[in-house]
Amino acid sequence: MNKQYNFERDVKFLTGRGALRNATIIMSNMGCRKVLLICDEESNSSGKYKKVLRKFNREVNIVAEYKKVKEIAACEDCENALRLFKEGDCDSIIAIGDKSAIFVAKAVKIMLKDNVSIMSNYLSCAVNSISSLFLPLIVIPTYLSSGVETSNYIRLSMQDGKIIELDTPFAHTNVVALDPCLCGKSRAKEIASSGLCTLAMAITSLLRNDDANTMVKVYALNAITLLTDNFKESVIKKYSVKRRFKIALAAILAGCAYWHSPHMVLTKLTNVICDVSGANFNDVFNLLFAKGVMVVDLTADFDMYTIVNLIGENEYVDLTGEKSSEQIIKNSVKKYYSELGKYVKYPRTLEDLDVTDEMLGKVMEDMSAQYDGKSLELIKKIIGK
Amino acid sequence: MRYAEFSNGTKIIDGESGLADLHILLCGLGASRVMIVGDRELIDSGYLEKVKKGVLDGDKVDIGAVYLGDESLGVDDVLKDMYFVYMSNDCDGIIVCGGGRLIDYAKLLRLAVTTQVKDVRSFFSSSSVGRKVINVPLITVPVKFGIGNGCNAMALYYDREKKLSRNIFNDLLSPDYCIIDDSMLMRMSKSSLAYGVLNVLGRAIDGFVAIHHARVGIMIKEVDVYDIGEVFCRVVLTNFLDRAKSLLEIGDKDRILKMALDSAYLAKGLDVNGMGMIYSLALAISDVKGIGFARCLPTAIKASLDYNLRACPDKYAQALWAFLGWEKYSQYDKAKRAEGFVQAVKDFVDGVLQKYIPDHVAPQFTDDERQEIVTAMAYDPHMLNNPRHFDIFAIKAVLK
Repeated sequence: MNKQYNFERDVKFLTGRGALRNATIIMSNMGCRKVLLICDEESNSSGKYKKVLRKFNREVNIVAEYKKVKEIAACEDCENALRLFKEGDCDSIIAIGDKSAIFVAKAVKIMLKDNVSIMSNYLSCAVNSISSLFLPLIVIPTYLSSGVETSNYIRLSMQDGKIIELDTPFAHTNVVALDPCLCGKSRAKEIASSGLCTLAMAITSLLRNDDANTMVKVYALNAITLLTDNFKESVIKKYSVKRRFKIALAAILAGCAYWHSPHMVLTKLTNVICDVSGANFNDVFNLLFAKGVMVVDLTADFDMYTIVNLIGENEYVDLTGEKSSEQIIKNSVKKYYSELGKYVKYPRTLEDLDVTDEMLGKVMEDMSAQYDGKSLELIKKIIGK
Repeated sequence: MRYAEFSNGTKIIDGESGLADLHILLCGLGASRVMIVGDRELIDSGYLEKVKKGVLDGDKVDIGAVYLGDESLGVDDVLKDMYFVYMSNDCDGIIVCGGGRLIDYAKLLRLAVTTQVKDVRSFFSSSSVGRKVINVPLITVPVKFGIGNGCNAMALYYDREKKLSRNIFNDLLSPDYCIIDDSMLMRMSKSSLAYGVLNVLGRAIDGFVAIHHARVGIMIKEVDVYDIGEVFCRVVLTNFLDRAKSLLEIGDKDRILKMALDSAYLAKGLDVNGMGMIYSLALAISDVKGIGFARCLPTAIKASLDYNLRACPDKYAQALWAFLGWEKYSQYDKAKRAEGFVQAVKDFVDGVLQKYIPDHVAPQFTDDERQEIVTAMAYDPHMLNNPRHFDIFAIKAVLK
């Protein structure tokens, strides 16, 4: 046996008006009787947590709540949440909020599956490659979505500053509920950042040496279509809930495609730069992607003809004049970035994010220890070192 | 922002490792004594032995019964038999290896056992949602290429009273795992592969042009919903012409497996959209003429393309991009793209028939048969997805 099995049904997406209400029905069908709620501090203080509770109160039996997850998820949060889960004799988890709350919820799920109570010990203790413990995890994103909702990826910081990264099918999300009532007001800059990040994740997941999995293609294309149809308007009409909702949905789908295809170099590089400089993940990721697309020799590694055929006709794809498939993709990415630049100021270089040369030196040291050969060459080209 | 649900239900496993891990899958799903559904051909080829070995390997799962289905028997008789065998042998899970009909029977058996409703005809109406009473793990191993029902939430039931096939939609019909075993698909003849390719193409075109309806006030209206099914179809249609040609010419393991996977995922995607006229027409012709579904597909594809041409020219133009590639697409006049797609598909279908299925005879219809086909289509809810309104005379005209 060389695969890991979790025996759970694949993820279920509930989207649109009434998604929260329907989530309660689906949870009840899945046998959720006692629920642990995990939420980040920002969603709690902004009132979104209460909004969800108002919809849930009558139908869902919430027996424990953990609302203290900070911007960066910590192992301590996981252990505290796990204690609450056990004290309340819970049988399911709801994660409300951004990335960090989702990471904590997923970590609690895998700790329960492997019967580990201290997260920092997980890597040395967990050996199971199958687990049939069914523990429903429902994710309710409250911001413009970070794309990790349906991933199997977890990133936690330990007390000594070290980072734990896991990618396991046991951190599987069962249900994602995206309700427009949670897609509250956002600044144009945030929408732009989230939208570009979506584009970056979708295109990156299509750029693969081997033929991508059908589901990856489906999620990525769906994200690109939703983004193309709504991006400009969502930035101009920033109070349009409908547009923002569609961008958030695109981000979830793009994340789904991205995290199910192996593109860890770009993610790792972004994470290291963010750790060193404290910059926003999405902003750094967008910059690195834009640079990456331009410097990589796409024709050498990828079937660009198929990718253009997959993306299909949209306003950012220009077929006029004699062009190669590679040129079409590069031009279309450029057009996305430049069109958006007309309406909103977003960071265009790493200097705009206060990333200094010294910091980049540290990043290169770190990356050199992990990568070599072609990957390291690519990293050097992307960050210009 | 209308509410929409998409469930990626059945898990698809490819390669022989899936069969070898059957005991792990069954254990994890909570089965300890399974019923294997297959046919005599599979026993003769030794394939069922392989399946049995996969089940018994870990010594934790037992085989309660092996049921060899006969596709020529009526659905009621088979279901009654299967139900009896399943219950009298204390089984608690099902594995089915076989073609489309056998898989449908196993899915219906699962529905009956799970809900404790013996007469599956009570699920004809879409409002009769089954309530899960007992957990019945179901694993499908399709041995035919391009059928797709190994991983969707739909089953066909031949209604003897009305003499037509009826669709049953229910989440409980969706299997837990679907194992796509390329070694079995490699044994298929060129003509079966060719029919499989046409089946995939037909479903992809159907899903691509499908429209959605919902109850708005007291009216049933076309609505705009988040449409993931269409994207599944676009993925399958992309470079389809080249991929299908090279699959049929070379027929190697990789190409067959890739298209079989595309077909399986397409079936999952079409659970959201439903299919359209091609499927509905082929099924109606099959019922009326009493010939296999696959043999009716070429006629159904061509007729439905003609029928819908004026109703969805934009969709057909988009499909042309995916089907022929952006370079050829850009050479077409804007006004000619839809017609270009229709012609390209017709040429492809004719080419496949000529080269790989030379003994194919297109069915001919009398006036009475045309009327019966239209009546059968009127019962099919998939026709609601078709972009052109139901026009009896136009349907009869394209069948001439």
